[in-house]
Amino acid sequence: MIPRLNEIHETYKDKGLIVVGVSDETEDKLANYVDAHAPKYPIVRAPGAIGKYGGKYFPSVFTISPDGKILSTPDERVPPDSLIKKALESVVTLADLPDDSRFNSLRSAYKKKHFAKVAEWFEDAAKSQDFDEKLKALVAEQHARFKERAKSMVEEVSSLGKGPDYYAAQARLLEIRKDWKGMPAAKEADAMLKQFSKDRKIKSEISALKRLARVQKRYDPTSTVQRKRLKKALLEFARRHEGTYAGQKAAQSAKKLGDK
Amino acid sequence: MNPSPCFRRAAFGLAGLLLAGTAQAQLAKGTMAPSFEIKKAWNGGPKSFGEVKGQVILLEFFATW
Repeated sequence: MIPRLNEIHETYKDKGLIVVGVSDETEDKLANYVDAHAPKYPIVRAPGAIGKYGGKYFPSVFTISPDGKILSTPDERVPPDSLIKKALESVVTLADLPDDSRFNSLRSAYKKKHFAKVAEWFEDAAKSQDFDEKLKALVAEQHARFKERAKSMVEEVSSLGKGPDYYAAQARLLEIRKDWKGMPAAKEADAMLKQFSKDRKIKSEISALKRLARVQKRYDPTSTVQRKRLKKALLEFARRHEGTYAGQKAAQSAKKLGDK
Repeated sequence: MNPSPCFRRAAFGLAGLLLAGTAQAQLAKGTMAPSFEIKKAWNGGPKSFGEVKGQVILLEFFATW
């Protein structure tokens, strides 16, 4: 895996991609690993991370989009180049612009996720006389990337509206509404949230999923005793919530615990 | 850079080892990637998950054994 990841790292590191090796092992072991195998990409120690992703084996590679969505899972081993290239189209690489005070307000707005301001900056820049042809082209390139990202956010909102995990969708919509304030994605997210709160079925699904999350948090799955208790609680939850997505999810999690 | 046959075999061998103790099913495509706490970084790695947001991220969960 290291040679292929080194290759991806070298090819795309300046284009908006970062490869991160993640492990929960001790600092000593990881330091030795870095010395012995000399991966070119960053390595981090993050206990508990693999559990959150539900990786089933080592090594497990996930690709994450600029908007924080999972684009590929370990089932595909390493993502194909075509997927990486597509994902990179919506990465705004402000580092490509010169280190020049004319870009300060753009950089700061982008960093603070004031995306409406970023959009405004680009609109103004397109009309501005401050830039020569070369710089204009660079700015236009980043503007196109930004528009691509804004478009993908609107698409995300509509896909979130389809469920079935309305609880996760609600959290994500709230985030989008905040970050993209003043942009179409926020408006759509707001409309979707209102729709959620009017729909009785979605509302009860959200509260069931919320309860399920609480059940799962109560037990530590690394302890054998607690795992058994968790399984029992999940099965009970699934029985009481039969026919709902939350119930289905509980049954699946219980089944997974039983396999161990 | 070509992977040595030996390394390749080792990598495939490791891929077969199952992880114990994860209640979470493997996250599906399209779901939000959860953030996590980073305790230490090598090779100029990020100090927090938030630091790399907005880029395309390839997360490789690996074992040193």
